[in-house]
Amino acid sequence: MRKYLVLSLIALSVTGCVSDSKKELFTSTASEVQLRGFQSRAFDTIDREKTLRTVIATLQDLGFVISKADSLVGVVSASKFANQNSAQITVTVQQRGQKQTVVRANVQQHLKAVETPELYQDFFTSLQKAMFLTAQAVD
Amino acid sequence: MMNKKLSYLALCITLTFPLFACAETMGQPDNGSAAKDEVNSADVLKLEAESMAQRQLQTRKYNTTAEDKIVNTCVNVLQDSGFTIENTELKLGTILASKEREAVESGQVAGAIIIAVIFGVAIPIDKNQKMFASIVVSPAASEKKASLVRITFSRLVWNDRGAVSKAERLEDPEVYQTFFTKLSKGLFLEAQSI
Repeated sequence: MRKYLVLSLIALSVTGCVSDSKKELFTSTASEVQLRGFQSRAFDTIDREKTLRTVIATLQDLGFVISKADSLVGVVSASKFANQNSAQITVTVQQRGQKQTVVRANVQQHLKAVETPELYQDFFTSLQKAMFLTAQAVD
Repeated sequence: MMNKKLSYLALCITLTFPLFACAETMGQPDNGSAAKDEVNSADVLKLEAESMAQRQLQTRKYNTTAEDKIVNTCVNVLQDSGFTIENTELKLGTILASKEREAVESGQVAGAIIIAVIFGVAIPIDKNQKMFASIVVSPAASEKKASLVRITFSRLVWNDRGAVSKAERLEDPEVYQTFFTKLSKGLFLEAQSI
């Protein structure tokens, strides 16, 4: 009898500290401003289609498979199939002001958002080479 | 008595080992047909050493600027091969198609049965797969009157417990060659390597 009581008490204490997985909708460890900072770069061009095409080519070179692209909205989504290192990426391309285009990338890996600036830097390093333009920080 | 038992056990083990080895090689895709899982998690956005070779394997050049015609022909070729078109974007020349099929491989099943008999545990075996074909048609930067077609084949495999057991890029040159042969026929144009 006492054994059951102890067991149910343990079970109760566990349910007490259970977290709500629905809260994942809007959680992130970095602040929005920080995120935007290392996920975005500005390029001195207003040719959005060419930028999109370059993004697509760069993603392919990085081993991603393009799953969706839309030139009107300026979005490219791609996946990398590499077993434990699989990843998903969404890149948006938007015009900023009269002279610039902003490229923003979001990466997801292992059921988590990638929030390490170095990883995004790798992407922009490859992209700026393909663009023949310097990737500038977005403030 | 004890010795006899031990020798039986030893015999069993020596007999089953080669079977394991066989199941292992049969269950795995042949060397070169699948991406090697060497990439570090943090290197996911870094250029791989074989990136250039991959590009050459997956890309062909056609002497035409009619990108829409290429996109349409690609869709036809994919349909001929039983793919379902998931989405297309003509302006950027992208196509995603997929195909769901069984992924049961006899070698793996044999391995699972042997393990179940010896250890009494059921190990998961591959059951279903979803194969993807992603195509991008773009103007060739080096030449004015040519277009590039790059296709990437990849697949996801689920085991009989519903978990993803494989997520890999298909790297067998033959499948790429087959696709481009079909595409060339449909376009009445010759495919050129880049």
